[in-house]
Amino acid sequence: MIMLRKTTPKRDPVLEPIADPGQVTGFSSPAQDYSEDRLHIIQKLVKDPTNTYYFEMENNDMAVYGIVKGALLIVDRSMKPKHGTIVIANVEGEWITRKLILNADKKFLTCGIENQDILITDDGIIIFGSVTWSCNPMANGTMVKHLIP
Amino acid sequence: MVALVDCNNFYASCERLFKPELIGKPIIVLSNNDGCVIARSNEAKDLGITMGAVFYMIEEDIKKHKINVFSSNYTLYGDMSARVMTNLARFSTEVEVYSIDECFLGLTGIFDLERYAHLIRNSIIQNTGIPVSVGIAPTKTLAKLANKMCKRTGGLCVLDTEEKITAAVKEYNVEDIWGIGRAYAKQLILLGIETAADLRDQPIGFVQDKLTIQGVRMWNELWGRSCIPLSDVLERKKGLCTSRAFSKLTNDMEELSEATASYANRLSLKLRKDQSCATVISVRLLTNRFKADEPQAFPSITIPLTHAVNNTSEIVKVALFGLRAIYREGFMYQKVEVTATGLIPETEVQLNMFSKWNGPINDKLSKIMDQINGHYGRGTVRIAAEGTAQRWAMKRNFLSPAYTTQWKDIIKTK
Repeated sequence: MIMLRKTTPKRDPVLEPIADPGQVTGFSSPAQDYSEDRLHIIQKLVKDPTNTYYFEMENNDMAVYGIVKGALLIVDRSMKPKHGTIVIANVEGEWITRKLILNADKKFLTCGIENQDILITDDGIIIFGSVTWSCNPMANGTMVKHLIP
Repeated sequence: MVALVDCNNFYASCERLFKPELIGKPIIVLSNNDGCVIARSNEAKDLGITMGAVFYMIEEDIKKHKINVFSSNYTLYGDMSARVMTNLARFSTEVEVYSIDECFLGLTGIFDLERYAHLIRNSIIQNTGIPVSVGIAPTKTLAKLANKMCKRTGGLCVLDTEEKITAAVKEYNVEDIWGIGRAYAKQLILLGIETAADLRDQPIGFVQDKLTIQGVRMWNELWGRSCIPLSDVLERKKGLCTSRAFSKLTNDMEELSEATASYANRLSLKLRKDQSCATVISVRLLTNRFKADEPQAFPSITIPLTHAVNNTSEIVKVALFGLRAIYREGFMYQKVEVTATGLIPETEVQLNMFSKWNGPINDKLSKIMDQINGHYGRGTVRIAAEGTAQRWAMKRNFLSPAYTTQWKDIIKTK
């Protein structure tokens, strides 16, 4: 029913000084008829921008599940959390990211360490939404961009 | 059938979404400049905080009841509103966004209205976290009425039979009907017309007499005959205005100039967003009319322009000229208003052959300023006349972060 959103961000004239590098003045490009839009990561990461929110991981509590300090978390509220979903929750005013476990006998939020599980009782815990992707920082600011000048 | 979907205590709900610990706690949101209360959570309403209450006069109540106070964060409310409206538009092809927190949906061809209303409501709450009420009825006026009724009953109200409508209008106060102003309501109540049913039972002649053609439409709508269609096309605005009270009263020409330049700049941005040009600019200064013991003045000037324009430099220049012309000493001003009227579409601007015209260059400059400010944030590039200190700038002591529009403000989680 919902078509995949086609997202190509606007051209940045500094990084992409020519608007259409495929336009040639001499021999016409044999690739012209075969052009497709280049991939862009947001096409994968953000399916429903209207319902997408962003959070940032502050520590390594969820390292077991591959979310490290500084990770950018993409949260889609339209995805209903299920058993096993990583969720953003608010427990008495504190924002946490945890894996949601819905067992028949016990519902809780976990970071993979058993004695730190947070039981979901009826009050005090609000689930904000499901984390659909986590982007871990790898070389934040340590690499120099090769761009002239 | 028409649905009116209304966000419950919208501003308070937006603040609460990102501070869930405030669920069940009283919240108030203040007007620009932290002047008075413009939104309240149910808890704050129950504590007797009134709409429009002046902030500094209720400070004691706030302390006593631990009421949570917010300055209005229109960046956040605007974004959340757009999210709600976009989600609503998935439920109907006929959509009329009526205000920041209300939306009409055409529901032609939907059979199980009750179920559909549930679906709409649950989906908005799931996807946006903003609680909404859904009122469904044969006409817009009745949908509005249904919506107000269900604020008390829990979020849903479908008036789909004559019996339900009759029962509803009987207990609905005449002053709450959509389109009945306070003056009309007073008149009607004096005549013994207290409920919507009372009004509906009047003959058409009476309505025509007392309430003009608008009233006749409304009367028909109360009988379930649709007279006010959903409008999905926005009418071109006739005028645009930017005005705001200063954080403190001032008679300093420098401050006034900076403020005027800043509002004129914002006005020109609004014009460009609207893709229209102004042919007339008005400037007005206002003293605080609530300080009865101080001298009052409301000088204003209306300036016709040689060219229809929407670029920053020219509109600021004209506004400052206007300010200098009307400024009088001996008054403490609270507010400046800059208004653009005689709007015409950008594409229909005619040039004046008898004046020197620098339009294209200024237009280009404005466009570049818009680009830079769009990319780096509002106010990155300003014109010098706006000043740098902006001592007159708006007071927003309780402003929440721009959670959804600024990367630096996204919530940190553990």
